[in-house]
Amino acid sequence: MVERIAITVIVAAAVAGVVLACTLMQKRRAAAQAAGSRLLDGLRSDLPVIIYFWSEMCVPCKAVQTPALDRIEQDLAGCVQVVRVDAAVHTDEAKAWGVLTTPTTILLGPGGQQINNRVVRADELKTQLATISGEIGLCRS
Amino acid sequence: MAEDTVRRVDHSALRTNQAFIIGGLLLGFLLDIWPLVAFVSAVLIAGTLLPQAALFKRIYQHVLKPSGIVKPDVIEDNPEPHRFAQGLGGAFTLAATVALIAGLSVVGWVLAWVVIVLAALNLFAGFCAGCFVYYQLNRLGVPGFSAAPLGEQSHG
Repeated sequence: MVERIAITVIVAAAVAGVVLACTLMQKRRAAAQAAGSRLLDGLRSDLPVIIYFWSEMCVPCKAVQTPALDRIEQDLAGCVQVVRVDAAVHTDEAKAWGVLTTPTTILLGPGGQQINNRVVRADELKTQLATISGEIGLCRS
Repeated sequence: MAEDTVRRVDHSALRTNQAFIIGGLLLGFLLDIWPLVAFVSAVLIAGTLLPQAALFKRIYQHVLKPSGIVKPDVIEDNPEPHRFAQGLGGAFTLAATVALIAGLSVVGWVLAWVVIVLAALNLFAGFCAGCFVYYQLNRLGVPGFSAAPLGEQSHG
């Protein structure tokens, strides 16, 4: 009888641990999803979006990717929306969008989406934007 | 025009069922009484073959719900996967009973514990292992497993 009680207690503790872990993971996932969707708050739905994840320690971000996006915003002013996210600070948002490395640029548009886990220069970004803009097309300033 | 075919399942009835399964099997294990395992097996198998004969759910419907001890929790869901999960539980407890009668107590109680743990995961974490198996068989196109997960059903 004592052995059976011991087995019951051990298995109950193991199951309780699994249930607790599952509950915590569900809560974290829900919080991350909410954080992820907040990035699109206030944006226009008729314009493509570039979500740019960068970090302070990311040298290619500062040297290449950020200047490329500065040029995109200048050349395509009014035709594209750029959201810049410090992935080291906004970790929930980064996790929600599946970001594992910086720079990461996620392009969203009516014709699809494009995820870049590498440095992408301005000209290539413009080509990708034209593709994801679909039938609407990418306007030119 | 498409008919409204939304199906609903009272998850409080399911949870009551799981609680009785866990309680009955745990008591059987602690007191080393294999007839309790056989009893739980009989209830699960009978409830699978004839839903009206599900004893634990009837206790919920006729005693616990009317008295307010357990409040209903009716949500949009498919009843088939839960019935399948109950049937799996019945099969495992039947195998456990046979093993215990044959003197294979370790095998018998391990099988009973599998049912206890999976029922506990369903009751406390909301994960139905039997439902998961059912939906995998549905995705594979196995005949008899026709109910698709709610988000994947086509509406016509």
